[in-house]
Amino acid sequence: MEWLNPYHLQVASFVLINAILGVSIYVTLSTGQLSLGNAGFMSIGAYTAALLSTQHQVPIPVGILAGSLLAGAAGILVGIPALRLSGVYLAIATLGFGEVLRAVLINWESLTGGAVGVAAIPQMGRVILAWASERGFSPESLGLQSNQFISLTVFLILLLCTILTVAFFLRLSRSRVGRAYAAIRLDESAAAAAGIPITYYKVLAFSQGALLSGFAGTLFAHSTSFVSPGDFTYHRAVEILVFAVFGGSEHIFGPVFGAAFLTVVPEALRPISEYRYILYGLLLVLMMVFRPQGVIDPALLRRFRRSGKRNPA
Amino acid sequence: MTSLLSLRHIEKSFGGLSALSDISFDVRPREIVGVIGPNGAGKTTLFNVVTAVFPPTAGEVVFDGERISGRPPHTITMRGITRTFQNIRLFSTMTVEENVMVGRHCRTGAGVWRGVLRTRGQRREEREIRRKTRELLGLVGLSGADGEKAAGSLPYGHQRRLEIARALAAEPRLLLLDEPVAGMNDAETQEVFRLIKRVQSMGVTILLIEHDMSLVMKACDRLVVFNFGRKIAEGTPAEIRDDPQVIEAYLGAAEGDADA
Amino acid sequence: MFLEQLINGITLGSIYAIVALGYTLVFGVLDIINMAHGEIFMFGAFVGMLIVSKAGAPLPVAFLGAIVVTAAMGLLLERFALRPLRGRPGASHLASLISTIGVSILLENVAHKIFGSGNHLFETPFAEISFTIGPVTVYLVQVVILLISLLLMVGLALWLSRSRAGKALRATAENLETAGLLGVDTNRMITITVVIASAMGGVAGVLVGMAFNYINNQIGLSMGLKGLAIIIFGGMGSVYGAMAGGLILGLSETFVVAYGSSGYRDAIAFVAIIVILLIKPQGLFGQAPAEARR
Repeated sequence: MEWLNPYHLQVASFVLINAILGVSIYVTLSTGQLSLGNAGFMSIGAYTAALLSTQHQVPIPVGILAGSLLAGAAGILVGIPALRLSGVYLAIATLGFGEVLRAVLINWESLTGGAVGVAAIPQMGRVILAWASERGFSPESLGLQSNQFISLTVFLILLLCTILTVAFFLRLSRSRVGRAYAAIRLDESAAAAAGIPITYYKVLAFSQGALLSGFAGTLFAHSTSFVSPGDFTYHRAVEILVFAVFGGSEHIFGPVFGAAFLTVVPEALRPISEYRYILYGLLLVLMMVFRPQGVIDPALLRRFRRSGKRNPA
Repeated sequence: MTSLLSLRHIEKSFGGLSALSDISFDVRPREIVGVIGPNGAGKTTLFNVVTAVFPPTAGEVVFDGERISGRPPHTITMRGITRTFQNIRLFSTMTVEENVMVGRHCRTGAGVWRGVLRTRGQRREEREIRRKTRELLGLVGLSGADGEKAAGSLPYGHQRRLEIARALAAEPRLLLLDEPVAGMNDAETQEVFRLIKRVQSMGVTILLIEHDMSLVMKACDRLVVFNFGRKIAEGTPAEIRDDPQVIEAYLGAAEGDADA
Repeated sequence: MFLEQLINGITLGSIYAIVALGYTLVFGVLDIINMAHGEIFMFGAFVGMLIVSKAGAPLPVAFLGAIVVTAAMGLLLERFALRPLRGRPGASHLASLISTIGVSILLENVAHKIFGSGNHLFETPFAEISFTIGPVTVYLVQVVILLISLLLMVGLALWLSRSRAGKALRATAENLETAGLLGVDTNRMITITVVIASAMGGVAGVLVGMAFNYINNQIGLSMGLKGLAIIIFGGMGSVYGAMAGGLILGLSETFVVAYGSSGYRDAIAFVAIIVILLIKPQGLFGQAPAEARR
């Protein structure tokens, strides 16, 4: 299977991690809270997984669980005081949180390795290959080279994670909790008057977003094998924002589409990738002016569904 | 008969501005009490105090024997008080059905995991929510065909009725209606009058702010009259109609209501 | 030397104050945070650098150039990234925030393309001149920076309180609709505000070049976020809050670096944001938010 190009699989893997990150900002946004701190929560997940696996030989799945839960807990700690803030204030405070966290990561060298970061993190694909090889398996039996196998394994794991994440939150959005989120976003006062405990759901959404970002962080650590503070800057936070703003902030498919589109296009069109961030900047402005809800919005999806019903191809 | 809602010396000021002064009155179970008065007299502010949009500066709100002033708004709803708003606050991009389903939130309990895994109990609860929703939509006179439409796309009169349906979804014992027939013609007003009476017959107590005097006189068992944040009169519609202070308040405010 | 650090702190603080004033002006009138303010400031610094170091022109020309360029940028920003969002029903403040974030990312990377990522030398002709007062050595550069900052702050305060345009601006800030009804050309007021705020950012850019001698394309981000910290701390929309906050931040940073750990210098601003938002969200000089009356 020569067509299975490890480079393409890597890009696809980044698409998937970015999709999960996009969903993480979407979840908090669905209650009307714009959090720009998800790069910070991502770093909590990534560093937890990285340090646990490199320094304490913790198995990868445990590290992923621990990193995600820790990020989620941090989300609760940040989310509760964040209740007093809204709109702009919240966005900036969460941004500040991310930056403070990054300063800690850079300066607390004894724990985090400082600006140099953590290297040689067990890579999911390699670990699985090693485990399988010990039991007599060889990639050639599937017609694959080692590096193809590794990339493919990582991709498949991330695909599963992304599908489960999207399915989870899609189901959630159609349930009682999802209705509560939507009501809070549309009119917080009216939602409270209708009997919805605002505090509980806003903090819940916030910590869910944080947990997802942390989850993406752990996956990031275990697929790229190396994390450093430079992976979690303000730019990362903005990038996540662009996925949701461009792709669509009113339906969960929005950030998934945004992540896919904005990860693949700069890779596919090499000349553009140099101007990637300039493009992001332009996209943000253009979207806000012409189509603030993003590309994928509920109306568009309804049109797809209706045309699908009319032409059952 | 003990009162369902008891307002005791409620004061509310914003900064230096006094919006409510020494408001005291009771609402008895199954009554329809009308709150009337010129614009700016503090009627909606009173509703806001009762539903805990903000706490009173002084005084107490007692509901069914329990002090509710100062509690978070959603707990007031859970205890059985719901409301509609003077300038319609529907969740306009959600569907008609979804708006009512949101109203049902505090009487149901499926959380994140049950919602995602769609347990048998959760599915049963959702079916029950939908059934109740359709029932309420029928009660307020909205057809099932409207269910999937965006709430904001409904004609004005239907939107007001939808808001009432949403408020009823929480099975309140006390329903606060803030100008439910504002902007409606006579025919629509009649329908809402019948709806209010139907709701009363279901055992719900109603507190009603309105400017439409014909509705107020027909529907209400008692009236409370406000002016400049104070209660200036209280009594049956007949008593109030002849009360000189009330007449002066309305004439003084140059209200142009022809059928007062 | 404590006194010298004090002077450093005040000098730095006055530059911060000017940047913060730019934010505060725009927030006061439009109720939005212009996230591109930091990048406009950075362009001011680069224009100043080009004029002084590359073209060898005198410092006043650098100020002029920076003012012209940043004012133009403010004009374009208002016209294309802010005004279209204004008429929209239901357009949230978040939309403007996101739009200006877009502009900031755009500007930052355009600067990266043009100027690269390294440090550029900003040569102030009289950088070496200093005089000693007792135990303290004061540099002419610091004095100039302080004077210019004070001039700008006093000028702005006077203009806002005395001039007709300044009063119109305050009226627009107070209530956009009412000001319009009273005959104020609100669109023009808004444009003027953004232009002035951006020009102040430009001046601050040149001052930073003078103060630090090196500039790079990251200073926009760093200053932008700090400016935010200052107005949140001092109270959004409050002129005195911006000035006081700027001074406090300048002093804190200087002393933390001098007596503490330099690595955490940039984190101070954010810790300040977080702390103030928890204790007094409206900032030191801000007004408590009016209770919702519905």
